[in-house]
Amino acid sequence: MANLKSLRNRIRSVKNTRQITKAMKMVSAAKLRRSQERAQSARPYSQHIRRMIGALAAQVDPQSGPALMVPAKGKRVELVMFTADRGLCGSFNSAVIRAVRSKVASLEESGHTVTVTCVGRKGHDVLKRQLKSRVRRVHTGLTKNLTFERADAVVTSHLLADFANGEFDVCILVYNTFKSALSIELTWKQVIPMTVDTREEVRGGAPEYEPEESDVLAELLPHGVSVQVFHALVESDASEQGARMTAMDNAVRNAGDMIRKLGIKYNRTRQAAITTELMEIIGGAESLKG
Amino acid sequence: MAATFQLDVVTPERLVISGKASYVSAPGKDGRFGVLPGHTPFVSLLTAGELTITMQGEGAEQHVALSSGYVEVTNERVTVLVQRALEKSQINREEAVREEKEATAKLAGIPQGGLEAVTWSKRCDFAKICLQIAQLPN
Repeated sequence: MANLKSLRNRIRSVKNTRQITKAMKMVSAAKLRRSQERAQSARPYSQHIRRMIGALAAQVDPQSGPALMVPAKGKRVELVMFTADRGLCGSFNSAVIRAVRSKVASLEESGHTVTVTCVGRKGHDVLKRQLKSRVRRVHTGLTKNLTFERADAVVTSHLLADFANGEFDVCILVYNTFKSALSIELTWKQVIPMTVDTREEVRGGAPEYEPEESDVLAELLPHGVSVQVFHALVESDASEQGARMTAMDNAVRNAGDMIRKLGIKYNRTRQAAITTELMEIIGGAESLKG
Repeated sequence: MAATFQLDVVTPERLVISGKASYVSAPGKDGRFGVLPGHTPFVSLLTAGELTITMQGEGAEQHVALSSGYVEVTNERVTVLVQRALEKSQINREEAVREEKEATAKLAGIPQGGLEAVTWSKRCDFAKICLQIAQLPN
């Protein structure tokens, strides 16, 4: 039977753990609120841009349009994987990592060449051994002070430059979309060539473009990629905080259960020790009598 | 014809202005233009510059510093999509001065035409415009 001292120590250590997880839960709850606000306030812009691109793309022949729109002919795929910089957030990272791993396998089976850009440290840590030279770039520390400018300068500018140099033909973003603190959804989004919804109706007749349609489109498309990358980052950040909060909430609850169980065990052990002692005393008294 | 239109100034990070306006003047790539209610629909590129707005029911003009972006005008709404936008009251002078200095210093140290240079020159332009607007009388 476990001795009392070691049980006492265990109870103390689990209590400490609970304290830490509780603090982490509070921190991520606060961060979640901020991230969520950011995700929400970023939405109108990306909707407007998408609508504009849709309306504009409807008037331009996709074959002769800018390269970012022409349907891909090549078989080189770039996956941009958005994970967290840190762990302890439940299945947040592993969901993305698992998805990327199987996607890479299935793409290579069908004869594609795959390269990967890792945004966030965790994804790269786990996959670097497996992906080896397929990893093209790694960007970390972006979600701290995330601004559109930084996202644009760090991630998108490289993507666009690599695409312009003909290093890949298709680019797909993989990230978690925030639904609620309890549910996140894995999202695949192809950004190059851009998939546009050309059914977008233009109200009040076709607008005039200034300068030419093709000039505006040539500026708007790279910007559209940038917007989507930023959107992915913001969503991923909000989901990360949500996932961490849920994970830490579970950890606090589990620690509580464990403390209760250990407490019962501790009391039983103590009682058993007392009973044994009593038995010995009574035994001793009895033998003196006889 | 409506006497106002819905005006939205949106950046990737937030909705800066949303409301009914009766006139805006914006820095188009091919020159400044003004929009009154009922304007023909058009889409234009914007350069960094000053956006002047007359909101409905207010006599005074509002001044907003814009970085480059797009404007979409339809019959009943004007949507300004830019990377950064600051209303006159939100401009912090010292910050703008600092930003301009930093950007100018960076620009001097890197080769022109590169990706980085474009980013920094955008920041420099924006800071200059902020300063110009901050100096306008109320």
